[in-house]
Amino acid sequence: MPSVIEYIPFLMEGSLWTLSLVALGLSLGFSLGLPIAIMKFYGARLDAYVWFMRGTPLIVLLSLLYWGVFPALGVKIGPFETSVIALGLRSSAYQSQIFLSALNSVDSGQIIAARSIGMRERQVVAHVLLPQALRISLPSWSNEYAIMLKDSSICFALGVMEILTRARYISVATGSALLPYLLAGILFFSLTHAGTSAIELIYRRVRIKGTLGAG
Amino acid sequence: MVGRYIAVLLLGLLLGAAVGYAIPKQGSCLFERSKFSDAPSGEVTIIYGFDANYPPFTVMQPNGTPMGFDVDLMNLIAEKYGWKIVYKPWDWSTIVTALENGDIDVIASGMTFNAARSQKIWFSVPYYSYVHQLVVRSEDKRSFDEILNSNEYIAVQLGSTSDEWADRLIKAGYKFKKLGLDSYVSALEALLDGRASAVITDSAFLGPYLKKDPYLAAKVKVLGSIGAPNVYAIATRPQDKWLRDKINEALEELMNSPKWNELLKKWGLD
Amino acid sequence: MMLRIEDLRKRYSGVEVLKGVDLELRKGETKVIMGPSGAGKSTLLKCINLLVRPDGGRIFIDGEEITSKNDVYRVRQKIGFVFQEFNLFNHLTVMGNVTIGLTKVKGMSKNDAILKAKEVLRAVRIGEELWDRYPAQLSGGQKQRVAIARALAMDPVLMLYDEPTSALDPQLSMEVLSVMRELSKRGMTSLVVTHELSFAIEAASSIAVMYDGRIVEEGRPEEIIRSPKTAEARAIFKGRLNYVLV
Repeated sequence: MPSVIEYIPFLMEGSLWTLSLVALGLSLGFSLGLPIAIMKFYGARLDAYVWFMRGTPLIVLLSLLYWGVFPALGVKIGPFETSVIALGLRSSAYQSQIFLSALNSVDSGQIIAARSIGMRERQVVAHVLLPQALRISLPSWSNEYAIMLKDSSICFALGVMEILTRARYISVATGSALLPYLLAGILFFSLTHAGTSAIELIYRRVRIKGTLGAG
Repeated sequence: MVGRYIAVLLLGLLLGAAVGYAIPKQGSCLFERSKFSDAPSGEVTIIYGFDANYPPFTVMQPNGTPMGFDVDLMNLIAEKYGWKIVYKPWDWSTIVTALENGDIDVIASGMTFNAARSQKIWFSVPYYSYVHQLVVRSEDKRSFDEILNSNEYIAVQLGSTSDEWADRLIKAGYKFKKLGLDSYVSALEALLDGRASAVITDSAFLGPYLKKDPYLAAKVKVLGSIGAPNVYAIATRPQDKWLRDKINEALEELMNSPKWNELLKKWGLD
Repeated sequence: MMLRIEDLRKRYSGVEVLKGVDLELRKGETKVIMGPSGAGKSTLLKCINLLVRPDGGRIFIDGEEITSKNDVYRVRQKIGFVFQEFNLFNHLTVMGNVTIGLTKVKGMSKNDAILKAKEVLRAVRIGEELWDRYPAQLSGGQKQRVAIARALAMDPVLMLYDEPTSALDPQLSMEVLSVMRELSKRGMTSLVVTHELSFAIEAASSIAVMYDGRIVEEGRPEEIIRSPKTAEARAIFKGRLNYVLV
């Protein structure tokens, strides 16, 4: 039986897939989540969307899209792309909550002050609300990264060979039940730690002086 | 205002999904033409779907390509006709749907022929037969019936035919608790460390596995077989008549040649 | 007449907060509005630069009726507003706070904006060493003076102050009030809601007493303080005589 050591490159390769899923999923989630948060901030009722995306298990969303919606629409979207879309849609619901609470935490007095010097509403959003809200969101956002990292393993249902899938293959091929998962766990831990640390570093550099613990 | 539009959009999404599911799958009608209903012109590329979770039939190699009895089988068939094979690993739980949908063209992955499956996908001639077995630790002196009525854990691979057997036995009144794990390998580990008192697996997996690991073979013993023998076959879409005929032709030829025994021996399946 | 308000009315969820306010302000004049809380003083100020849309009445700025216009943004650029809670932009430095209106609203180049900002910052006596600080690093008095600078930078024709020193202790209040006094002396038309009698006496040409959504009495500071005619005015200035006659 081949040893687990031989499979290490194979396992590591999975990180590329996992990280692509995470990066693209988070980006999609951001590009949808931020506008949704802004719209909700100004009173739009988008609860139905958030409720649906948060309440639906990822595997259900994945299957719904891949076996139901896309064929019904007649479009052929591949497993990887569908995974990204499913991850992104779900993330957008959570990210919109993060951004909404951040927007709400910006003191409304600043909004009135911005208007009082003649700013149009979109300028208020661009120059006063977003710069502060985005900075405030960073800590919660790194949470979203960590969660997305774990969620990405579900994409194997569509044949995307990310880390956990490979661990399973290795376990079967080598007869070793524990070691491959242990290594996968270490890999996930490292990726999570690297990502959240990076975000933490960025946060420290851009943090608004005067927010908790800064200055 | 916007919220209402979004809600309608979502409803549409759900409806679309339901429709997508409900529409009789394009190609479920036998007389509709599909990719391999007739001999295709030009180069033939077969997308080969498998779940590399099942030694010695399909296992993943360090370089990312699969190996195993079924892999060799498909490669031999492809070689005979000059076909190109593209490997597509897929999760067992959705592999049949993948075949129906056209993401893959064949499944050769230790797939058991059964009546339920043959409603949606069609099988080639069987190429291997096996039987389900109850495995216990060597020093366990209990009988077959005693184990099945012990009220202890019996481990199986989730989603496999042995999983179905465990459910059937429990329903028939046998008193034990099912421990579902992700693979037969994990199930055996559970047996060795005491989390389970027995494992239901199949001879197709167990035979070669024990042959490769005499250390393990000494610690377990097969107590008996469960149910009638089963067979493995290669699966295709119902309308891919041409493909299936070709596969059957190749299989019959192969099984009648000395190459067959060589293949079985190579993977410990003799 | 720089500012003319005619019969201004405003209703908030059924409650009439402004019940027909009439007010006039000449160019260069500083007027102080006083009155109990809930009288509508803050609402009045916010109507003038259309942060709040009045329900009735008319407002004229420099002869132009602004209540009939929809382009609030242009109007707001001409009016400077100073808030009780300062409302500085926390993510920008002092320089950033003052220049942002110039660059984003007036479309000035960065260099021109900085030059103008330096000018107004000096006018409010905020020294160069503070220009790169963030609001969180400033004292209350410094914050309010930066807020004044931010408003001044837009070259307004009218400055509105909504209780500018109510959130500051006496020491810091003095710095702010002295800056406001100087601006008034230099001819900035100002309307100030405040409780600071000393400022009214030293800088204002008249005090308007507001009560229950209306201006009930108006007069020169010395006169109205010494002999208020209405009961409401008396209630404010009663007991202040000794304190004032220095």
